[in-house]
Amino acid sequence: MFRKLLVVFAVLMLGVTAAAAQSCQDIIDKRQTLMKKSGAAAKIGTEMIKGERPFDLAQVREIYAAFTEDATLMPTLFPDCSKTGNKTTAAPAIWQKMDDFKAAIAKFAADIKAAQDSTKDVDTLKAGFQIIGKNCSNCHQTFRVKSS
Amino acid sequence: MSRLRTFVFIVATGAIFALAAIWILTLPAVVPAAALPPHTSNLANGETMFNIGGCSSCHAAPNDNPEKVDRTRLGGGLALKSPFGVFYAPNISSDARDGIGNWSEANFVTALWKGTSDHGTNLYPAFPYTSYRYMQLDDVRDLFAYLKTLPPVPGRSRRHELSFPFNERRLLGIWKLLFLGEGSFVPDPSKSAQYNRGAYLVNGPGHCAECHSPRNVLGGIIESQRFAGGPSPDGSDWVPNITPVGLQRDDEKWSEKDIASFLDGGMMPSGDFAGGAMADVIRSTSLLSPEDRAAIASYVAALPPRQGPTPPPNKDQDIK
Repeated sequence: MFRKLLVVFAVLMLGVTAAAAQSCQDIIDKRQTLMKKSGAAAKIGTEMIKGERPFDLAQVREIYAAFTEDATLMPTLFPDCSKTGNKTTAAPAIWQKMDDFKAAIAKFAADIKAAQDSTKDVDTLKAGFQIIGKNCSNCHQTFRVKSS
Repeated sequence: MSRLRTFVFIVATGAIFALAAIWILTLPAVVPAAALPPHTSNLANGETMFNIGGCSSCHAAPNDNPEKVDRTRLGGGLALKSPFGVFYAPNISSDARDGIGNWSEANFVTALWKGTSDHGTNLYPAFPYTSYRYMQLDDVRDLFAYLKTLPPVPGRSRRHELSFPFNERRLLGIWKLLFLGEGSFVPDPSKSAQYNRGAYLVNGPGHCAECHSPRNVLGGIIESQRFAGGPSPDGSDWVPNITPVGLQRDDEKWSEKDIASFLDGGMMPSGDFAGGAMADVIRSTSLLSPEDRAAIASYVAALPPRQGPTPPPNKDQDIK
């Protein structure tokens, strides 16, 4: 009886561990997808600023929405189990300085909000993007391993 | 017996002559004050040189939060890890005791052109005088005048941590013979003024090749692969190839405009943003005039394609 219980317990534990590991890999996938989405959004906004694409306020709102989603979800996407795997380029600094990391994301969110409220034409979009872009670079410098 | 003695004598004499020749050839070169004609300094141009020169990337006191670095306080201290040991960026603030406040203009020109310190010793090429030596005299002098306007910061940075033989500055004389080169920047008359301005900014003050090129075992740039990328000096990262081999890949193609806009805001054609050492570079290049960024872009976009070393496969599980 005891042996049977032990076996069941072991199997259960294995299952839980595997599920946890699986979900951690999913989390890495998720944050990478989110980052790519923000990148694509940033690209569209920059094209508007450069005059390669007409300014479209509805589309700008979608860009800011993508950034906001990014900033909202990011703090939840770096559990301890997601330090490695899936070719992550997340730097160990994230976990060493989690408070700084979260503060940086909070600042990112605040800057997006401010830009969103002030953007009404190409010039204001540009001003907002310059401030938001600094968030991107600062975080990538401190909290990402690869530089490019 | 006497033949052996003659042989020993010849070898010994030869060795002494060879050593003497090396000693003379490796004497740290100096630019004398008399070589500097009268000059009225242009502080705005000095600031441009400061920004394209990226002085603050290494010499501004480091901070964990890159946004909190004061680019004008040049107290030094940044650790530069290399295969030869750790270099600590010195204080180049206007502080008279710990910085370069007491340097003469000739001392400064000597450092940038010849890689020789105010004491007449060889400077390590972690300070990229291999590029700065192409700077025009007026630009060097304007830069010096601009640096003098920045605040004095007290405190010396740590001594470099280098093991023998790299801690022997005199031996750098041999390195300079091998890698410093001669001649000054020569514009290409067949190219536009914009291209030539870019060529000057990239190869002189901008010293882009210093990180964007692979190096040989002695730490000299492999000329045939200039701008073709390679491991970062501390080995922790990979510096991309900025010839068309790297900038015209199937998954990401850079136009001239993309390069200029990258140097302004840090965004790549894919929408990704530069991090690492390049984020610091962009903090400086974003302060240049749009014309200068366009000039750099025009030169970089026209670089000949060069295959560099193969980057390691995308780091996976083992990022420490």
